[in-house]
Amino acid sequence: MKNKHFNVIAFLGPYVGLIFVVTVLAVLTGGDVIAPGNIKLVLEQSIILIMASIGLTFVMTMGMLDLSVGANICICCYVIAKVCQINIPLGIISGLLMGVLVGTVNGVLTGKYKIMSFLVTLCTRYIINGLMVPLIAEEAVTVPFQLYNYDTFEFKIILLIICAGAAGILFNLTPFGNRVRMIGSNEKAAIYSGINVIRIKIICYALCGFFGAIAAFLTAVRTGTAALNTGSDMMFNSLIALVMGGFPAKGGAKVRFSACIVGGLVMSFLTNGLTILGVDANLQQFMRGGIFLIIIVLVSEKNLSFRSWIKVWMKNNKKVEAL
Amino acid sequence: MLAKFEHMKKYFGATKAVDDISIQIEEGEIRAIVGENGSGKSTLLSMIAGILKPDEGHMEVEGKNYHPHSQSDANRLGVSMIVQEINTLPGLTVAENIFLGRESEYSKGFFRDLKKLNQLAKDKLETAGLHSINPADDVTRYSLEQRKMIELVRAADIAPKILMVDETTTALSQTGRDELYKLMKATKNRGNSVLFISHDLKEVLQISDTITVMRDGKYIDTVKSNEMTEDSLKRLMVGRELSGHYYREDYDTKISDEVVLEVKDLNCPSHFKNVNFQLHRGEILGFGGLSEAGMHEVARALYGTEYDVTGQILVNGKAVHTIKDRLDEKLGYISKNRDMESLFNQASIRDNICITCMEKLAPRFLVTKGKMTQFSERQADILHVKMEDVNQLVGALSGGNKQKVALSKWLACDTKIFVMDSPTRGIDVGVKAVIYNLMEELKKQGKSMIIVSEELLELIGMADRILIFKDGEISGEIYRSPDLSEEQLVQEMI
Repeated sequence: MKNKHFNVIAFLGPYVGLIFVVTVLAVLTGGDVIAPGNIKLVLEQSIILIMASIGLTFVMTMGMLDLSVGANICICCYVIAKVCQINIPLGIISGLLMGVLVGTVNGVLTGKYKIMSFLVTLCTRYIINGLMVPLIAEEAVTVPFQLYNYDTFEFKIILLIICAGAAGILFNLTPFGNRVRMIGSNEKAAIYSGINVIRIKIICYALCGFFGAIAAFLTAVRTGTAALNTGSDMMFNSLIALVMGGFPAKGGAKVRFSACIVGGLVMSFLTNGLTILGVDANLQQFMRGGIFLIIIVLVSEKNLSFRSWIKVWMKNNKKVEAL
Repeated sequence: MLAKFEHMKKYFGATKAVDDISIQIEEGEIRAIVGENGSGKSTLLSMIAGILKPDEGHMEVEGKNYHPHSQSDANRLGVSMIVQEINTLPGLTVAENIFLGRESEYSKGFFRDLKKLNQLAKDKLETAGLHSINPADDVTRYSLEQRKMIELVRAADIAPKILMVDETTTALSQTGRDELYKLMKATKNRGNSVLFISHDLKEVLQISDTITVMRDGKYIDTVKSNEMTEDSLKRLMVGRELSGHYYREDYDTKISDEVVLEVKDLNCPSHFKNVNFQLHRGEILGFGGLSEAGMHEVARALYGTEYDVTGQILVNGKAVHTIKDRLDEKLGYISKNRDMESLFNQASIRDNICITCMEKLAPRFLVTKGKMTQFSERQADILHVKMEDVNQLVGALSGGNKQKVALSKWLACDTKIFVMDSPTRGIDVGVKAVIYNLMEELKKQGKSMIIVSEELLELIGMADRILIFKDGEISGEIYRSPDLSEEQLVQEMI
């Protein structure tokens, strides 16, 4: 049972969520969260997460997983740090290629050889992590100074706009994007409609690796090092960000591209606000996990009681029906 | 009076699926419920079976108030339902499925007596004439039809006061249907009643005592079966004179010699072998046979979705290997299993129709939602898909309208050769007529069709030529003629 009214809620929900979170935090922090300087900081910090989430969006829209996002960022960061010492443009390109390579391997294993994406990406994650240990040895690799030139708000925002814009167009306005969503909706029917599912899966994973590489570049620029724990929390954070942005758990035709951006912002404001409030990092993780679970339950297709609650609320509120 | 259901109402958003229906059932009555797709029959039965909660309405069984909280609650109160889909649990044995929910009948305290379970189950299977089914086997070892029989055994065993059958007969062979009729008669003889939904009007007139007709969620009338004919029943269901003819009425139309599809030595171990035939331009070729004769698998092989197939398939003279090759040659496939293979139920009508035409709609790589909306609206209009708008999810449509969307998808991309597997299965009279009209139109336009069907009358009425399949091979070829009878076809099939 789906009706037009429910679509309005699904559409507004994430934005309302963002405003809600920011408002609550603003109140709790006495306005610190919405100080212009802080907003700029949050935006800048959110870009890495949003970049990784953009890539993950393509994979998860097909109903598949990529658990190697963090590990990919680690290895790309390492490649960038090392190769940039020889030549900066070469280093950046090498990093991007590394990301595409990791993604392609994931895509081929799960798309062509039909191994569950959960297993494939878990394995690539551990392989990469294992590979990094001897390479990074005792101390982190430092990034050449020239890269710090890119550590400006202007550059990052422009990069975000270009990437999000291009990805958004690809997702919403091309036959490719449409097919990605249809694969997530019913993979068998997609095959029967003549869609080259294997090829699209490989491309989506390659895109995920590519955007992960961009995130890795931004990480290198921001932290200046490539360490063993680089990108380690990105695997879960990008997943939580998507869900907070209103991404339906199994992907499919109802995915809105804005989920990665709105969700990334919600996560970043949350982290920022909680840090201002002095909440311990572990407690923050606990809270993130809790909110994630609550949202998943509320948005779940099978949660009939919540949906009927909405229906009753709608019936009693003519204003919403007029929307 | 055994039961009454008064002023039943059920809404899904803006759709009034069941709009104030009141019926009464007497003891020992077999009541059929008929109506076009979307008339509310399944919704009504679901409310009685405890699957859906009525928005309004009052139900009484044997004089007592009846408000089931769930399906098992309804079973306990003596109301059970058999549906079209498979309702046996994989991973459990046949015996466990039969006694699902009634473990206490073969258990002593905490422990299940499996010997007793299997013995009891064996007795019931023997009584039902199912000698070849072993109760200790995992239920998935048996065919879909046999699993449906096992469900019947379970339903018979519960001996419900009201037995409800929701379109189960469509998926059954003649033997299966006979078993079901036996069960229905046994229920009646006990003094209990049966409510059953079917699109097969012949069957309805044969087996039921009374018939309730519904249309668009509203109650039309309840009539005695022996006072009705198929035509008068159809008129009551559709509410207007079915203008024009149902099947084709032309004979002796010349078929072109041009071969659009040729199949040579097609083989698929355990499904079919030595299949050779040609399809001509503008021809409607029928495939007939029993459900396990291999014709459905041949259709799948024609589209490229069957494994281990050897042989040659030439479309317009070119050998085809992948599904993409077929699409390039403008061959489309309408699957027997539309929900799983043809349609994206969680996606909009627009997405479903445009999926085959994305390249056409995006000449310069980009396509807007607006363009897709316009395009799909035009396509949906051709077959008069009953919908709110193209944003609506396909899963919310009735069976007949879903099939219209599946067809629209292929019409939209200029398909020239259609392979249709059971195109009118589980679809009401009104939409069937639309589909037959469409087939005639396509034929006039020089498009070619292969129709795989288990409905003999449909093949006799629509096909230029019928290939009969038996045990995986083509056993006969029959040409269109006004004197063709079902018996002639059946001869070749057995």
